[in-house]
Amino acid sequence: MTLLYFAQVRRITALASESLRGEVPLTSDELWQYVLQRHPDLASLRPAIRLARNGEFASAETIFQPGDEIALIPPVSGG
Amino acid sequence: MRIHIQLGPDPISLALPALAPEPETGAFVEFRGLVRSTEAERAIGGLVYEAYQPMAEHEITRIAKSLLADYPVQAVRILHRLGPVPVGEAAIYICITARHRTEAFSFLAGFMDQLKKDVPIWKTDTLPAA
Repeated sequence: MTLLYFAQVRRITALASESLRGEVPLTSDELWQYVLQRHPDLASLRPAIRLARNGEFASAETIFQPGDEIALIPPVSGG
Repeated sequence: MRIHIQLGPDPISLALPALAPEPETGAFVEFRGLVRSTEAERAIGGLVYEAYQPMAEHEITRIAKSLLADYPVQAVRILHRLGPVPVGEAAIYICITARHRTEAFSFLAGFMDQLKKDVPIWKTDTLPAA
């Protein structure tokens, strides 16, 4: 899996993307456990961040699969 | 409905080629969203936009198609600038053709509301020149 970071998420992680080790399917809670272990400063932003799987917003039931492109989407501000 | 979407760094010209009206077009609506000189009452020099571009284009298309059910417009062109945008310049341009003004205006308002909720585009402000 590849994790993509944008805007304030990228500024906190200091990374635009990173690969997730351990290629097994993950729930969103499991994915967040991994992300927060690596980037604990994201914890306060978590309630405002939506997850996207392969370019579409994920739901609470989404299972993230090996090979997926997963984006952490902080509050948007286009227009 | 014809949809044309473009995200990129080029300035949005004031002299864009117009959407070609159809014989049944009765409304031609254009909107430009400009960068104001202040954000939260603080002077800025401009905004810098970034996007998760493939998803942004997908979301824009999804939103436009979903609005079509309620507001049957004929065509829409959506341009969003990425990268630095100075104060006074357009960050977004939308052009809509429709049979009547009501659906064109409603489509525009609905689209902008959803863009600001669901399209992965972000802005940060820059300081004014000294």
